[in-house]
Amino acid sequence: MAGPLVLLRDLKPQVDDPRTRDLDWYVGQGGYKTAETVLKTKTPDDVIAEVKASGIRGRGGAGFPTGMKWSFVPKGDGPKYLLCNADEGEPGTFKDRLLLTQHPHQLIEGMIIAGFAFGARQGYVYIRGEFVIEAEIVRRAIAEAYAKNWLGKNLWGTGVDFDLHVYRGAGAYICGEETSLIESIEGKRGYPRLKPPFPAVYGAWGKPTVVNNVETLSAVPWILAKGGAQYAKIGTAKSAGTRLFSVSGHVNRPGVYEIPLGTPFTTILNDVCGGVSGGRKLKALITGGSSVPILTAAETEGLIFDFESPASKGTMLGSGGVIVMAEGTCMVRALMVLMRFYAHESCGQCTPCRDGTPWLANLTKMIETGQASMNEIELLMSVSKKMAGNTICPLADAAVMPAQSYATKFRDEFIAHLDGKGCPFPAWTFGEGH
Amino acid sequence: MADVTLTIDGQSVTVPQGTTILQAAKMRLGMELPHYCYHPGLSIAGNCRICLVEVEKMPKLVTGCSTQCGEGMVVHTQSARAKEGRGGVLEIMLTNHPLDCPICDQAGECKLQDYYMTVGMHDNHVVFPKVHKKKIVPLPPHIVLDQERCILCSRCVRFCQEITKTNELTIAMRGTHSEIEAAGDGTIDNGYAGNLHEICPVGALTSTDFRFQARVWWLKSHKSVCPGCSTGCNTWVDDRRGEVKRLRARENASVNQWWLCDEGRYGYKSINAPDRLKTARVKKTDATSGTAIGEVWARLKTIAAKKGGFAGIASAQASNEDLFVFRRLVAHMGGVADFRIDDSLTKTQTRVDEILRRADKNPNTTGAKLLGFGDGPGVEAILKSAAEGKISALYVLDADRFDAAGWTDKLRAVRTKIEFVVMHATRECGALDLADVVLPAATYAEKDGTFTNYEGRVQRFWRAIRPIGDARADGAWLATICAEFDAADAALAKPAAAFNAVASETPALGDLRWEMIPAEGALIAPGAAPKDKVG
Repeated sequence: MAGPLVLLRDLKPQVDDPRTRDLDWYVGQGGYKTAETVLKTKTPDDVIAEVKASGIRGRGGAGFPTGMKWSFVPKGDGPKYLLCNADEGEPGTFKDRLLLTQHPHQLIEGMIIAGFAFGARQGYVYIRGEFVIEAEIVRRAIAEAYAKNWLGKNLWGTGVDFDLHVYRGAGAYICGEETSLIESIEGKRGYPRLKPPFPAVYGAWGKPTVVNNVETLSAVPWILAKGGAQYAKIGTAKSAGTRLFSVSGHVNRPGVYEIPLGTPFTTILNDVCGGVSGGRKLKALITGGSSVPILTAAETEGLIFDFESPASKGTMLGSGGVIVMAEGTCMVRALMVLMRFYAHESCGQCTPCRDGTPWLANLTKMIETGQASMNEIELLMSVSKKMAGNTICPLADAAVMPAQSYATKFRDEFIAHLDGKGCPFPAWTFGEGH
Repeated sequence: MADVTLTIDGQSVTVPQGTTILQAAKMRLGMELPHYCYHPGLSIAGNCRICLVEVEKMPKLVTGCSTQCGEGMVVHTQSARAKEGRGGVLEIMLTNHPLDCPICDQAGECKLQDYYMTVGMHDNHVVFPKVHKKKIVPLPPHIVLDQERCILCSRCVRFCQEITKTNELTIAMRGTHSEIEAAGDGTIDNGYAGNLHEICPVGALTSTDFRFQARVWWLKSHKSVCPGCSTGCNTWVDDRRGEVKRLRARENASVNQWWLCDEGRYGYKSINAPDRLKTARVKKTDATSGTAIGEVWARLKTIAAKKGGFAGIASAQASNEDLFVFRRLVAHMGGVADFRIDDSLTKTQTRVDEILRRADKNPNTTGAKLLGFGDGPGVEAILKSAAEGKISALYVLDADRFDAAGWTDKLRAVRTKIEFVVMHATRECGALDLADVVLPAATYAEKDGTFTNYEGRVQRFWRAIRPIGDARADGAWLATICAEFDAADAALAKPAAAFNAVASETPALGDLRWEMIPAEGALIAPGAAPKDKVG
C-alpha cells in the first residue's frame, strides 16, 4: 500500500522490532527536534493554528477537530491538564496499542507540544489496566525522556515545564469515555460526568483539561515538523491525514495499517488485507469499532474510508476498528456477543443503560437459542429505542446502534432463529467462562 | 443575576439564570416533573433519567433536573416524545425491581408506584430472571437496606458525602450488579441517618424503627415543631389512631431545610410512652380532674389569702401560651418564678454540629426569656427560700424536666418546709412523690401552641392527637385555676387567645397574631432575642 506514513515512521518491518521504542532510535529519526524547535521558536497560538490548518480530527472515535478542542481551553495561569486517552477498549480496535509499544517517544513528543499549545504543565497517559506491558514500555520511555531533561522543568532552556505520568486504569470500558477517564484519574469510580461543563473548562480536579487519543497526539510531531498544510494534503479535502485501521475478522491479513483517509474500502480489503479469508464472500462490515451501525455487503459498495462516506451510509469510522464478516457468520450470535459486552461494561449510572443493556443481552440470547418469538425481536427494537440518547454518556447508544442495525438489516436471519428453531449456523463454543 | 424567559408547555415563564427546567416548572407553574435522583438539598446527579423533557432544537431529550433554562427555550414536558422517554426509563428501571409492594414499607408513598400510574402503565415484558441481590442489609442503628428495591439514584450516597460529610455509603460493583454498600462494619450513626430512609424515593432504605409498624395510607400527618432543641426543626407527626408512629422532616428553608436529626426524629417515643400519666393525683392517689383541680384552687386561695410566698418553676419545654398563663397565675399569687432548671439553657445559640443540632435541649428558651421567666431569682434561690420557710406553695410546671435535671433530691430536702406542692407531668418520675397534687400534662403533639427558637423565630405547632387519658395542656389546667382569681382568664385555655395576649404585651412580637404566623415562622424584632451569656 503506497502512501505517506505519518505515524509509523517509514521503518519496515517495524511491528516486530523492539528497537523502535528506544529513545536512541527515535532521536536517530529526528525525534524531539520538533518539540525543541516549537518550544524555542513558536508561540502556543502558532501551534494551535498549525494543528487547525492540518485539519486533523480526533482519532478516538468522535472525530472532533483537535485544534479547535485545544483552543477552547481558557487562557491564563493556573493548572491545566493534558490527558492522553490510552484506554483503547472498543471491541475490534487495537491500533493505539501499536503506537504505545512501538513509538512511545512519538507520543511523548506530541504531548510536550500539545501541552505547550494550551498551557498544560502536567500530562497523564491513562493506559487501560489490561495493557500491562504497554504501560511498562511507556514508563520506560518517560524515564528516558526525563533523563535527557526533555520532560520535567525548563525544557531545552525555554522555561517551559512539562511533567508526564502514567496512570493505569482498572479494567473498565467506560473509562475510555473522557469524563469518566477524568473521574478515574481523580481516583474515583469511573462514572461519566454530566455535561456541561465540558472538560476544557472543568476537567480533572476541576481544572481546564484536554483529553486526546494516542493516535491524535502521536500525529502532532509530524504536523509541526512538516506543517499543517502538508498534513492537510494527505487524504481528502474534508478528511485530512492518515489513520490507523485495525482490521480483524475474516480477512487473510488482519493487522494494523496506516492508510490515508479517502482510500476506498475495496483497496483496503483486497490490496491491503488480502481479501476475505477462505475465498468467502463478504457478508457485513463494521467500519469503526463494535459500537457503530453495521453495513451489509451491498452497502459497502463505493464505500470510501473518510469521514463523509460512512456517514452517508448511516455509520462512521469511529475508532478505526474494522471488522470484516464473511458469509457464514451468524449475525444474531455476533450481536449476542456484543450485547453481553455492553451489559458487562455499563457503568450502571443511568437507568436506561444499567438495566437496558442486560435486557438487550437477554433478548439476543433468547433469539439465538430459539427461545424467542417475534415479540422478542420487536422488544429488541423498542427497548433499544427507549435507551437511545437518554443517558449521560454514549455507552447506551453504543449498544443500541448495533442492536438496531443488526436486527433491521438482517431481519430475515433473526426471524429464522425464532420459535424453537434456534441458530441455523454451525455451533460455536465460546470457551471457558461464557 | 439576569433573568431568562422561556416557554414551558406553552406558558411563558421568567426565572433567574442558572435555574433548571425542573426548578422552573415547579417555581413558576407548580408542576412537579417526575424525579428520583434529584433532591433540592443535594447536588445534581442526573442519573435516574426519569425527568426527561423535550426542548425544541435539541436533538435528544434532556433531563429537566440538570438542564439550565436558556433564553427563548421552548420546553415540552407533556409531548408524546417526552412522555415516551420517561415511560421508557421507568419500564427499564422496573425490569429488575422485585415488585414486592405488598410487603414494602414504602408502598403508598413510593415514587415507583406513583410514576407507574402517571408515566408507566406498561404491560410486563420481562420474561427473563431478575438480578437478585441482598434483601436485608442492616445499616445500624436506624436503617435497613434492600438492595433489590434500590434504583441507584444515589441520593443516600450524596447525603452522606455532602450533608453529613461522613461518607459511609458508596456504590459498589458495576452495571446492573451495582449496589449500595456501606463502609467498614456497616454502621451509619452520623446523627442524621434517619434522613436516609426519608429521602430514599423507593423502599430500599427503610427505618428500623418504623419497619412493618403501619401501612402509610392509614397514617394521618400533622404539622409540628420538634421540641428536641432550640433549633425548632419543622416536622410532620404521623399517627395511626392516636398513636404517633413516626416523625418526618417538614421543609422549612429558613430553619431545617429538608432534614431532621436522629435525636429529634426518634424522640417521639415519649408521646406514647407506657409510663404516661393518664390521671390526676391528690396525695399520691388517683383522682378525677375535678377533684384535683378543686384541691389546687382551695389550697392556693388559702395561701394567697395568707399572703404567704408562692414560687413557680417553669421550663423551656412549655409553649409560649402555656408560659403566659403560668405567668398569670404567678401574678395572681403575687409570687416569683423562674425556668432555668437545666444548664443547656445558656447555650441556646451554640451549635452541636454544622447541620441542625444545638446545645440547648429546649424548644422555647427564647420564648421563656421574652416572657420574663429568666428574670426570676433562679431555681436554687427558690429552694433556698423554701428551706428558710419562706415558700408556702411551689408550682412545678414541668416535673419531667425538673426531675431529669436533678432537682428532686434538693426539693425532698426542703419538702417539709413547703405547705403545698403542685406538679404537672407527662410521665412518671421520682419528683411526683413530693407533690400534693399532680396534674397530667399533654405533650406538644397533643396541643396547639408556639415555640420561639434560638434566633427568635416564632413557630406554630398543631395538635396531632387527642391527649392521653385526662391529660390537658398546661395552659388549659392553669387557665381553669386562674379563672378562680379572674374569670376573664378562662379564655386563656385557648392557645390562640393566650398567644394574642402574649403578642399584645410583648413589643418584640410587634403586631403578630395567632392567625398570621406564616408557614416559615415569624422572626421577632431584630435585637429582641435574648443573647446567650458569653463563655
